[in-house]
Amino acid sequence: MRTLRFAGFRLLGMASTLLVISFLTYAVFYVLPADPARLSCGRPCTPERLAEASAFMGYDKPWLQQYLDFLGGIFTGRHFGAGQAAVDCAAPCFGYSFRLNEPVTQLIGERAPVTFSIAVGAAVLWLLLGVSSGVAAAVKRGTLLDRSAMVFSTIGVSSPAYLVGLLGILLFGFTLDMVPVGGYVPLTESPVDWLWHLVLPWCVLALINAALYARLTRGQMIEVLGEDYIRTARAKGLRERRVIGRHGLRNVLIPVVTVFGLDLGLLLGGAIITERVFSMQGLGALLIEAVGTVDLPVIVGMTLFAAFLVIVANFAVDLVYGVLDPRVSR
Amino acid sequence: MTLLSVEDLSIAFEAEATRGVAFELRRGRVLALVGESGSGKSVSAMSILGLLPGTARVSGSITFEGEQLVGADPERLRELRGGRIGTVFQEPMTAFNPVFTVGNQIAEALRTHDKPASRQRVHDLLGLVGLDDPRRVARSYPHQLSGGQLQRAMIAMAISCDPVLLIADEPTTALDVTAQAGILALLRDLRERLGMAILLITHDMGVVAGLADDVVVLEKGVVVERAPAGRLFAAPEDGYTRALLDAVPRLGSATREAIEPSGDTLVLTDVVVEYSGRFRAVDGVSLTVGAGEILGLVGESGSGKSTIGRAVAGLVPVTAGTALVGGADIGRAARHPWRRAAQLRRIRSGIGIVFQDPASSLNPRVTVADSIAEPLVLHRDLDAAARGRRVAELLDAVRLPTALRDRYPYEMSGGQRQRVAIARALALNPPLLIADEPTSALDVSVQARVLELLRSLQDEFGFACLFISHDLAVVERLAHRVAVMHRGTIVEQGPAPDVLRAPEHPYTRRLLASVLVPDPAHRG
Amino acid sequence: MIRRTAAVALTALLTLAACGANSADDKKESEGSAKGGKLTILTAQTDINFDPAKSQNLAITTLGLVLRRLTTWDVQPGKPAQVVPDLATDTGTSSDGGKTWTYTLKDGLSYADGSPITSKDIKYGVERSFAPELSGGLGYHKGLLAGGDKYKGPYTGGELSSIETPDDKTIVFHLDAAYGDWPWIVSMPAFTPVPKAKDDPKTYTQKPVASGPYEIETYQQGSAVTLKRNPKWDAKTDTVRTAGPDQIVFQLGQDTTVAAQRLIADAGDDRNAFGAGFVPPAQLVQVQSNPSAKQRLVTSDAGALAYLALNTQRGPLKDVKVRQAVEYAVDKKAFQVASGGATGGDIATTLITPGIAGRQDYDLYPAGPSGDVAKAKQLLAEAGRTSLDLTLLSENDSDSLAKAQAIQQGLQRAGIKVTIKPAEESTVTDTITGDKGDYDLTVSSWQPDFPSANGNIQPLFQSSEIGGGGYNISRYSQPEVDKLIEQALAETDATKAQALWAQADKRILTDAPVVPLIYTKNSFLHGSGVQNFFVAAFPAYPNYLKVSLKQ
Repeated sequence: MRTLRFAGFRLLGMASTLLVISFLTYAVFYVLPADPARLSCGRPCTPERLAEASAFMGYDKPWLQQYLDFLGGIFTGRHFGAGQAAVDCAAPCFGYSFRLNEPVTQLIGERAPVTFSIAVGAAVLWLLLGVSSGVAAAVKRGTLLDRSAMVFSTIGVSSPAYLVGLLGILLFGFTLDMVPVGGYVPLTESPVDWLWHLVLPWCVLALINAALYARLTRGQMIEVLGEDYIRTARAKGLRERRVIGRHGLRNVLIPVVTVFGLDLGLLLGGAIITERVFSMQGLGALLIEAVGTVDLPVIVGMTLFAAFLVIVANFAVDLVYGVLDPRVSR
Repeated sequence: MTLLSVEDLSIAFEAEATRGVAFELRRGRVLALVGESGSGKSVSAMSILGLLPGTARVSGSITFEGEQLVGADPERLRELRGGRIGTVFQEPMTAFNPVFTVGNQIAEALRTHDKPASRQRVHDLLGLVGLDDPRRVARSYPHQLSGGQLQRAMIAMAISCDPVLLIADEPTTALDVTAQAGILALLRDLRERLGMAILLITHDMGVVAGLADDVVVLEKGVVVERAPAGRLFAAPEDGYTRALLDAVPRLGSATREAIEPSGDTLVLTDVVVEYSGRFRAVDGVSLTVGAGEILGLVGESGSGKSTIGRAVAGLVPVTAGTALVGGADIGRAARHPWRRAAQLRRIRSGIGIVFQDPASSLNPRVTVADSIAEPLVLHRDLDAAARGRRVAELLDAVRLPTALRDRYPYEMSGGQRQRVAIARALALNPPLLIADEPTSALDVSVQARVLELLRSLQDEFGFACLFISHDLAVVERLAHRVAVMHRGTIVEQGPAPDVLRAPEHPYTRRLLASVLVPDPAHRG
Repeated sequence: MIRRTAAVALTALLTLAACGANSADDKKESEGSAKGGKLTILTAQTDINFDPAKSQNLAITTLGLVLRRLTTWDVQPGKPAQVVPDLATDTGTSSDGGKTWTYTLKDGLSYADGSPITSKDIKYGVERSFAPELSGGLGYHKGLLAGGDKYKGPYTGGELSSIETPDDKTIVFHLDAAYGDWPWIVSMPAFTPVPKAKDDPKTYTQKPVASGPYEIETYQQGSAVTLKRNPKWDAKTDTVRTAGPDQIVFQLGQDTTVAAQRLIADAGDDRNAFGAGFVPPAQLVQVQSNPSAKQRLVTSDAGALAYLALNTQRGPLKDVKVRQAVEYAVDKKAFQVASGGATGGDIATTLITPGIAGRQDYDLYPAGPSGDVAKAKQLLAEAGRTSLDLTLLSENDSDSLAKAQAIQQGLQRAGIKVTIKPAEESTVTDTITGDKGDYDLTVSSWQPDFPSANGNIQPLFQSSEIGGGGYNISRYSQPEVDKLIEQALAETDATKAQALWAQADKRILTDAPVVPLIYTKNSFLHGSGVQNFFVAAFPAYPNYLKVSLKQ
């Protein structure tokens, strides 16, 4: 019963967070002087044509009314224009992009697999790489290994993704000709090509993010190694590998998982720079285009979706946290 | 027959930790290494296990069952740890890994030494150390068990591979008195039944008296006295040993008579404190502290005594009842910390607080003078010169040299830090002082001096004091009146001599019976 | 017409320019046009809109490969662009003093599905471009066709009576007023035939009915569009399209830097590829030290006009003497350097850009590329100004700001203090085309949508284009000029019209509403297997219709 009530509150909290975010996104974009209708006005853009385009897309109404229409559309769907050329956006309608002639939900559905492929693969890689090098550095604290790992991670943390991506393409794509220089092949089309196209973006993202995780893991591990229970584990005769790998790592993972969950959640909402460098049309590319062209429905939809992912990631982190740390589970 | 022989053991890190330490431990005997913090007793014990940090330099000889351990193969030392030598540590709450069940951790110890690690075996071990429900304990996580239960489980783990030597490093220090007594009885019993030798490391003469056959006293890394327990307590030869024994607070040594207070500084009426709207930490407590009076609030961990302190300080809201400080209801003010911010601030300026651990209650980045001056800055409109004079006065009052004013907390000893905390608490001349276990983290000799200081300060300034402690002997030294808390309620209160000498409530009696007496003749 | 911004990558395909500094290599090869192969076009765009009503495509780029119009452009290296017949037999016959235009379709025209192309389909195509649901394309005709201002498209508004189709071969347009450049207007995407039966407005953007040499084979949203040959296209009816490659693949969403790197590397399939976007400055430098790539870099001749607009309705700028002082004070050389030096463009002195028929070269304010500070100071003194304090509205990207600073420093020399106000691109656009006109100076760049001097002058200087989304951003209003423009617009004799436009050009600059800065150049890279790749006078864009692959 308590769990149910808790879940209920949680869901309510998620929904209201999203509501506030959608409202703010709308408000912010209406404060900006750019007119979203101008995008669909054509050339020459006479005031009459602009008004026509505005009316068709519903941008002529007061912005609060537009916001309410947007909310209504989620439940009842929306309809723009008249006659054969009218546009339908079936419920749940989170907006319709007149630039791309598709409902936002459909656009996100099309683009999400790209971003998810990049994000999940890279995340697994950087977690493995970061945690293992962080553990190694902590255990061999003060040695050459530790210092070089930390120098490496400082470089990684401060490297711009665009630059690393470009260098990766130049080296592995052009000079060595080992991997394709960009593009995305759906998993359903060819699993091998899918993997082949993703290897480089994964490595680039992993390299940059692993640096952060190496630092985090090292710091946590050094702290954990000073805990009483590590001394206990040694005093009962455990081998060092088991002391580190079981008693140490499990406790180190607790904070790492928190950061990881949020990072992954953010990345799933769009790996903007990676997508751009590797010419992959994921959610990040979609959002950047939308911002550049004042494609308001896509901006709102993407913002909401990204927020939703972060909220879900938060929730997932809490769940995993409960599994990893029995002290927080009820 | 000698089981463990330590000769000329010197350990150094950056500074020297021990020099020329030597002792012998025979099978079936209990040897206590006694000393205050920094005496080198724990370092010596850890060197036997080969668990000193890599920076330690060890010289001398440690022979265990005829085998030289100094410079031995690390793998051989690992086999001995948890095998022939079991270990019990001070803090059972942190000595277990919080993310694995207790049973899991015991089974792991068995498996490491290639012993059958069946569930039954784990349950048997837990039963052996006197735990009532071994199955439940085995599947519990550390945070679900009490300190006493955990320490028993820790002992079960230590003896799981039938060691011939058990190293017990402050095994009861973190426990309540009743739990402490139980653990000592268990250790005595295990020694009898299993014939283990025990190397006991402690600062507590009461524990020594309760368990040890032989005693080695360490001071600053050097052995100052070595004697059988009986002789040591009866006729200590070394001056340091004597000082150590004298500093131990003993019940019945100096109760204070009740005084006639001129009025009530603190009045609690039917106070209830709930956490998260569910757990009732304090359940209908009524008490008063008169002006110029010290009330000793006694109880074990979880009894709710600290919660009362926090409620009176306005740090936790009072759920029901009233808590009047100087006539103003702080409980109600604390329920609306924003709306009644000004009122809360005013009431708080009349309360001084001293916490248990001065290391964590003082800001490590702020000098002594600034720490003491902080309440003056917040609540008094004084210029810098006036504040400086007040800080000097206060340092003088707590008997610290004014030269310390520019030091940082880490540059001082625990006792000095606690004096700074007291000076800060008294900065505003508060009518009420809350002291929550102010001496528990200190060595006995230091503790005695801090208690003496508190007593004389109270005589001098005449503030009312709510003195919270688990240590009956400490309370007896200071309190005019005593209140005993158990499970959120006050089971008995009255003048100190009455409560401590002629307790009426069975819980008070049990509490008093558990107090260790630094005299081997009093073993329970 | 197009106001070019720094976001060239996105608007790349929509943009035009001038006569190509095409390599000798290319000119040699341009004699023959081999058939076959797979051509790859790398573009930063993430979608291609094939709906003619919504497209702003040039006649010589993507849309031209799939869709034919009444007329189209013949673009050749070193020659001004010509309007030539496409589906029609000629570029149009005018009557009624230029208010009525009649076209006849060629024989034997059919769609990819084999059905014949009729004049009714063209009428329908134009009509649907009026629907608000399909807005976003080039809509010059909407203001010219009689009744166009009220018409709402065929879905709700019936037919547009000013377009007549007496038979399947003939189409007649009735205009509100005489318009001499109408043959250019009917080269725009809206004059593509759309068979009414096949019109699904929701999907037409991805599934247009092909009339050109290619049809769409696959359309993968966001990643690639593949064109294959249209078997029904008859080369005999088409004078401009050579239809070399068997297959054309657009790789979408390509980062311009990475795309340039691929073309420099010239490996594998990229040998048969070219980039639709300008080569970024860093890669331009890189190319200079790479002999192979240098050979494959094509830089256009000077094309689009970059200029400094002076708001003629604001404070001291109302005074023509002050504006003329600015003409002398500006350091065009510094601006050219900020735009990438000689590869970025040539110094400009006229409004009509090179490569436009009828252009006359002149310099009203002969000050040299670095300006004439003394002359500027003298003019300011004559105007009774000792000091001047102006604001310059600029886009906030680093390229635009560098250019703004070049202007700022130039004017500073003559004692004109300029404060730069950076803003987002969309904000800048809305401010300068809005009704308030709250700025003194702004740097802009302009290229016509069709290669007529008309496009250089009318949108920027007719008083009707002030505010309301119009691009008369110097807010210049001169009845004499308005009259000249109206006269030139109505003139159906091309030579006479050109003379009128050249006259307007000089007349306008006398009033100094803008300072011509440079004629910008665009650079493109192509792979070693690509032939007939040139960037002509106008538009300064590769002619997709002529590109072929070595066989």
